[in-house]
Amino acid sequence: MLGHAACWLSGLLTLFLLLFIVIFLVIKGIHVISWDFITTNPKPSLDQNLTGGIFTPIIGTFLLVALGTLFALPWALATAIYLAEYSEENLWAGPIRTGIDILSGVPTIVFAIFGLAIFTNPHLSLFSTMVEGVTNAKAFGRSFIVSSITMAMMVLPFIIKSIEEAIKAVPSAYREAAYGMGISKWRTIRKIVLPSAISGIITGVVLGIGRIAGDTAIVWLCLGGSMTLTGTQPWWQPQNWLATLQNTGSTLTTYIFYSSPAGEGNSPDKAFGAGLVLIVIILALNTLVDYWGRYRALREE
Amino acid sequence: MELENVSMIIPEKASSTTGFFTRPRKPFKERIIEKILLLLTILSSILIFFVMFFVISKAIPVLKASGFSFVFSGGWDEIFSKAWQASADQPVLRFGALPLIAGTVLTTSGALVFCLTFGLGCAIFIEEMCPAWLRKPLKSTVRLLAAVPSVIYGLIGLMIVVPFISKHLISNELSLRMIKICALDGTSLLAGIIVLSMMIGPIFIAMAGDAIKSTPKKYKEASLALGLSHWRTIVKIILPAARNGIVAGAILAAGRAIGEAIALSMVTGSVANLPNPAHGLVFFLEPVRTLASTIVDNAEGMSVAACESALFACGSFLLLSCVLLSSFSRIFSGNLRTGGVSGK
Amino acid sequence: MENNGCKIKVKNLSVWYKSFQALREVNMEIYPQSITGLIGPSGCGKSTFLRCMNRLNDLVASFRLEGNIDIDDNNIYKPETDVVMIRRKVGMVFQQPNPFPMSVFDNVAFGVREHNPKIKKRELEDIVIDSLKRANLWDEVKDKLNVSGLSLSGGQQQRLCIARVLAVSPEIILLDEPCSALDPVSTAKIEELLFQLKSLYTVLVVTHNLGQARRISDYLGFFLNGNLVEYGKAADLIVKPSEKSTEDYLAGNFG
Repeated sequence: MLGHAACWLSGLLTLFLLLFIVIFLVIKGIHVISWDFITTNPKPSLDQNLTGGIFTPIIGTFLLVALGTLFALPWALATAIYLAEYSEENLWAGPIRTGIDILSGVPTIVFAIFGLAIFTNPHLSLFSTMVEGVTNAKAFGRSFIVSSITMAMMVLPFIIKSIEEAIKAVPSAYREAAYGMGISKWRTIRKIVLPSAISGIITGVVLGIGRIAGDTAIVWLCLGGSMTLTGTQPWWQPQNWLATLQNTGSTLTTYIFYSSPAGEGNSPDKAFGAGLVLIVIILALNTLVDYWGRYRALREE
Repeated sequence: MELENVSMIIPEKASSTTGFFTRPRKPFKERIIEKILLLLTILSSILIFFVMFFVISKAIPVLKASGFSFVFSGGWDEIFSKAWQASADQPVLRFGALPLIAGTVLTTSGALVFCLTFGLGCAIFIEEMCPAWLRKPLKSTVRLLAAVPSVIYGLIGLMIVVPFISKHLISNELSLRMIKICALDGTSLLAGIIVLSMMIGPIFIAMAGDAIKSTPKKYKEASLALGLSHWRTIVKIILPAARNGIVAGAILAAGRAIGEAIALSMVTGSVANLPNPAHGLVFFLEPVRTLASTIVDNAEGMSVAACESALFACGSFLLLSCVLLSSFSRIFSGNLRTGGVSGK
Repeated sequence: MENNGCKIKVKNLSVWYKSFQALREVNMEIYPQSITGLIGPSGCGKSTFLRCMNRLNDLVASFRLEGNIDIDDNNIYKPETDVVMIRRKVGMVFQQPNPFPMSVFDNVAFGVREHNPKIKKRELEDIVIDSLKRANLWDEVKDKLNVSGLSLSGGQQQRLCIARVLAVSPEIILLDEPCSALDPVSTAKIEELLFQLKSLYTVLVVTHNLGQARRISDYLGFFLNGNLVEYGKAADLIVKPSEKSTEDYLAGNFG
């Protein structure tokens, strides 16, 4: 009976802990959130009231997510399609798949220093802009483009696995019907398999987006900690877009890190506000995926 | 999805003009596409392997110069600042990462202990004991918690756990006593373990719960019909049968814990200190640093080649341990259903 | 309290799963040292009835019961009853053989060890060997007691499950279509086994196989749509059923 009671205790304890975390975050963060908060830029200031909002971090998160997915998706799609559909005759597929599996466990911090180190190479300098006042070879290295590429590499194994699973889940009956009608393999894939697998593919991509949005290590090292977008201002004008992407900025995650006592510590309350916004975004993504999956499953019946 | 659309995409002419019984060669376009896909696949694999290669090769200068003392000696902070200031033709290459490795091992083990006790109990509770109306919401909550970014756990740790430790567990005289060794301000091994447990707990609970749920019902029925209590059935039949899945979950959680950089950097302190077990329970209150959080803390040093190499050395350790853990986990999750059950 | 020597007395038993009524006011008296067969078409409630005997239906969340089941004049559905003790007294063999993923020896010893943790090794071995002998399995496994129970054939696995039940010394044995997953040779062996067992135990068998019911039962109960349509000595019921539906079922007109 002792074991029984211990399990009940663990379960209820966990439940309370969960609720506590959620409630704490909401309480601490909610009074900071306002329309102003979301639409103003952060400003450096020691006075809590003047530290501004989280507009540029939100833009930063959005930019990273968009670019990172853009860079990762074509590779991931191609690799997943190949592994799922073409690789029976190829001996390489096994080791490649194993390698991808194993590497999906590599911590993001390793990708972060990789990104930081490799993009300081002057040959790759078109991806970032020179840091003022630094004269040695390591003058470059931090920008949105750099971070997006690094993010894409980090999230690549994960998306490959998700898409591959989605493709494999398409019943072979569909393929056999198509081949039996004399349709070539690639057309079958393009017109039948991929559309069937689309919900699984979208799920994988959305989960990957969640990963990108929630990652701090790569952003902190490869994007720098500047509160505002440091490209040519005003950043929203199309002629300045490239410059913006070649410069540093911040995302919600680094904003939280920066505003907490671990960073500058100027606005811990704002950190909670940003944290709340971030959690809402990620939870929304995950819940969306859940309901989308359930909706599709019901429709299939 | 309907297959009626298929008829619209049959090409108008046959792509092969060979006879009825000869095997037609794959059409040219098909082969091109296959080759392109293969190329992209190889490229993305090369990319991934290149990362590994790069990290390890950058680490070699420091690893070669330090040899085994990288693992067995300490003094990271002093060496790092010396290396930062040293001139380029006289680089400091002998680093000692013992406190960092110890920090990683200690925080991860502590978090695993939590997982395998409270976490497992919680998984058993969710799958076997909790009332039916509670099960789904609880499982969804656990899974959503596993998706929360680590920086938020770090924030919670920093704003709740660390002040709590500092106020209630560290008295003024204790800080004074320890002042020669390190500063006790709440950022500590204990805080690291707590935050890490919060982070990897949900992941482990989800996987262990899945393993428990997928044990065949017939074993449970047979055991109960023999007159065993529910608890004994869990201990003697269900858990052994779920063993492989549980171990796979623990390995996955451990991999996540080892690589966690940001949250731990926020709560374990900024000193590469090796906690001394001789201090008794104060051991848990001392600050530590892990391999991963060191990379975050010392990232500005990347402009000096020696420091960069040292950080990559830490990264290599992380990389290799995570790769090893991933490999082990594949062994266990490959046989998810056939756990080992002994009658004894 | 009248006691005409019956082992199990079922009084006005009604069972619901949510709003679906699976059994309607069943009354039955089951006698010791006999084989009682329960027959009827699919979905008539005979398996539900069987599972009420060892309270295995408790595992289903939507299960609801009204009425009484007395075993040895003790109502097993009283709130204070210890379910675990009931299940030691009432053993069950399932439709699909389900030996544990352990060795043959450990399978049989499992229940014994749990009920008697301090048992001596010698005594345990004696019990295991005795149970395997009584289940007519000993000759086939005596030199491979350490192989996994899952490596035996279907018929052997089912006899292993029976040995497992016998090892904990029940008084009543429930069998839920024990031969439906087996070939005719194994079926014959198990029917022979049941004959031997009836002298020591009270046996209830749910079966889909009318021939089997005729061959082995002392008493027969015919279920239809949750009602116990007819119950009595097998010989009487088969030759001269009182109800039309019983006659139709026995003749194979439906089911």
